[in-house]
Amino acid sequence: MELDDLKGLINQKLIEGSLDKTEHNFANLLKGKANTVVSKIKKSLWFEIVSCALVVFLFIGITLFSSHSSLKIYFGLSSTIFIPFTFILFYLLKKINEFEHSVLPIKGNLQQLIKMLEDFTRGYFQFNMALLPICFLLAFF
Amino acid sequence: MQAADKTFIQLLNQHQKIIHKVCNLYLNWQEDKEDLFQEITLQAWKAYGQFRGDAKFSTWLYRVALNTAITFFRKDKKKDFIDSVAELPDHFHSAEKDSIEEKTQAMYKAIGILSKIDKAIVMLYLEDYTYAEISEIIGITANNIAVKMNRIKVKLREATLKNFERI
Repeated sequence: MELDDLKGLINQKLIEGSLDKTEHNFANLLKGKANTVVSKIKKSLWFEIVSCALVVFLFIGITLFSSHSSLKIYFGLSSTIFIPFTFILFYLLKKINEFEHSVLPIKGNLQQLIKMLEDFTRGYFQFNMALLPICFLLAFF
Repeated sequence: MQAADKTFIQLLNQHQKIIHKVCNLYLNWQEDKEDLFQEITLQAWKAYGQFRGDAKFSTWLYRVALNTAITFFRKDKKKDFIDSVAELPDHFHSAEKDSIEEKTQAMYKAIGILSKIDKAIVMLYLEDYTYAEISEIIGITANNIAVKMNRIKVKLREATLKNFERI
């Protein structure tokens, strides 16, 4: 009972029960939304970018209009960290978009995907680690 | 609809069996298969702009479909505990035990328990792709594919015999 002996039959079995889709069906399928790991990361990144932009505007506003010097320092420093972080998020988004439109061999594709997820989590870790000492130091003021 | 869109849809329509095969090989539930089918279609559409025609459209589509299927996650995680083998149809009678159909069923079940990458290799092998072509799609050397394929065949032979005895 070898795979080669049953090649044709297994092939046939793999398309058994498949509904033949028409060109109209395909046109409709193209209107749907993607639900892959990559699309989920993209959604997450867009949410982060918008949140970061709003936070930066808010922090700059507080820095400019607050009468307390401690608040000015705290929000001024925080916004200077959020600004480069927003650019890092844009960079990640650009890389993900490039990846999404490329068709790599399976091994390369998995390696790229893992690398992107690592970059994504490392970015968050570094950002949090950068905020910690600032918050800690400013607590003394 | 633009000309490129039409060409893409026509190509996809002609090669839709590839997507059906990948969906059937990787998933058991009809609903999941439909989701994966749409996902592959969308991924192919997004990547179509980069398709230069260097490779055959079928080879390119296999690459997209397998990449999508391997990283695809099901919406309903509750189904995960169900063994994929248990879900395959098992409607044979003992009188037909030696039938070729039964052997095919046993082999099909054996393929169902392979790893995702091994399934991809088997699928391309069944399509009569050469080791060199399979290596281009998978991204490992042709020698490595040959070694893997030999191991897979041994694994399938053993699993098929077990499945066949159980029927």
